[in-house]
Amino acid sequence: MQSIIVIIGVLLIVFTLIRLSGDPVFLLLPPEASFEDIQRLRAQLGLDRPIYVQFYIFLSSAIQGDLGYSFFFHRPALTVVLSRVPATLQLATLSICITLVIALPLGIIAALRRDSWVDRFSMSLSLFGQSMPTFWFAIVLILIFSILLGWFPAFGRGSIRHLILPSVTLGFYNAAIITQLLRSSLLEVLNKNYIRTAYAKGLAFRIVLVRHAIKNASLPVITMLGLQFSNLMGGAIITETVFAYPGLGNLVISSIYRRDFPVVQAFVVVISLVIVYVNLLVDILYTILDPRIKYK
Amino acid sequence: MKESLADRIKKLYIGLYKTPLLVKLGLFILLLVIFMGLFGSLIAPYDPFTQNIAFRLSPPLSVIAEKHHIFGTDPLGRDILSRIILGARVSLIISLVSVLCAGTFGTVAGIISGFYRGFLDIVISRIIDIQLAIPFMILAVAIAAILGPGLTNTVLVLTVTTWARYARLVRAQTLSLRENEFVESARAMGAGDFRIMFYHIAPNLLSTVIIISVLEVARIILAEAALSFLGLSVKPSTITWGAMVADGRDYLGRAWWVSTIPGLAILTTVLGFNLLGNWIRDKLDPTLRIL
Repeated sequence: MQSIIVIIGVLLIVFTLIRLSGDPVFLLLPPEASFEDIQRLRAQLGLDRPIYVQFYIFLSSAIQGDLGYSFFFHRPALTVVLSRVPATLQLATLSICITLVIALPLGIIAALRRDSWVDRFSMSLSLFGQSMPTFWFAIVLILIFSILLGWFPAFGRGSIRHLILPSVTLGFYNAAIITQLLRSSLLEVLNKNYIRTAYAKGLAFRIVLVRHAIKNASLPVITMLGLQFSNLMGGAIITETVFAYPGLGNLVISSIYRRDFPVVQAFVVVISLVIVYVNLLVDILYTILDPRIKYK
Repeated sequence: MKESLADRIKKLYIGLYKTPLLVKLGLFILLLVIFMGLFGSLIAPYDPFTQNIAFRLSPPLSVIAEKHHIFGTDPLGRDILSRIILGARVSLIISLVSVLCAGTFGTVAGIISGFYRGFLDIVISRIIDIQLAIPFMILAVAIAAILGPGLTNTVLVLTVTTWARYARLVRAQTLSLRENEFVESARAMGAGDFRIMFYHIAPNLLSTVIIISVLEVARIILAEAALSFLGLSVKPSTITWGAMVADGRDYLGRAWWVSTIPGLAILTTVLGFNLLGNWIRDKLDPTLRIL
């Protein structure tokens, strides 16, 4: 129920905001269009009515699955948005994989060998990761791996090689956060009594680490990963812009500029659903990892 | 007895001389950037706006007509070092003012929400949820597209998009603070709601707000750089680090320094604030480590 209120609230804000950004009619018609033409198009797009009436019409047709037609593409807005989902989904998945590949070993070793060089390395890595402008890191990657070495293409989409640089950009940034989180939550768990009990009953180090420590320490990490995945689906604007990657972030930015209201609205609906599903998935994983957690 | 905040700040000050090297580095970076922001036009070696097309894209450390371009020149032949020094001002003004505005607004909203609870709390909490549910960059770009470029507008964009972070934490702390006995005794002494909120509860929130603010300056500098990289921050004629990185994008193959060096300026500044912020957090309230 709460998430429905939040989704409607987000929609209302976005709905009002993009309408404040200007009238799309002037972008759609040639400059010499007559006043009658302008009025006719405005009525045709339903923009001549008060905002709250427009919002009501939008909501009631959205419930029936109709999110309107794109002003720019002249196709259903939902189709336009969904056509970009695979590109962004590939990017998000690969970058989450990169995050895990970096963060899991680093976070675990840093927690087990406190104050070792791995620990210090992971600390400085996460500090740098959080201090680096994403667009700058992307540009440095392009400079090194695409211009200097010529290993990967600098922009566009097509092969798996196009995906590498943008996913590394996003994955590294998220890894900086996950490493720290995993380290501190593992350190906390390792001090718990049940770890001592597990050792006391003669379990091997490997089993204690995997079954008792990591399993319990992973709860906050999974929450954060879910959050990062939602953000990757909706908010990877900078990275998608630098690499000219035709994903959702790129689409929504150009749609804001084009004042293509239905596409922006459809984007918000799709992203809200993604966020709700990811949260659901995180909750289910919670109950698997920690059977004490029950949802009514 | 629990130490008061004033005591802790005093201890912090005394402890400065035995602080870790990295924290001193952070402080040094911070002071350097503030110095550049205040006296930029006096210490810049050359005029940052003078164009010299003949010597465009000269590499770092090149000497042209007796002019030493330590960081090279940009596509219009302007001295990059001078532009970086002048660019500090915009970054600092925008980030500090935005943090001040967002911090004040978020704190007041959080206190009111946590103190009154009930209907007002539900409304404010929902607004916070909604705010935090919209991806930051999308909201920022949408608002920036409506308002258009400019210093005030950028501050407004960054305030509107970040106040909720303060509000959420302040609200949570106010909820527990209002159950304390000192609130009850203040009430018994005849203090009104306003007095209790801002004279009795607010001082106890100070360390939290300070910690969020310092770390938030770092994030705001990054956010402003991203906006100016996209051309959505201040007017194009104003020098910003983000815009300088964007300027060099088309010349990456020929002149690596145009984009990368201004980016290093952003990285260094944000690193300074993060080093300092992490340290202040560990000193004042280590439980806030998740921030």
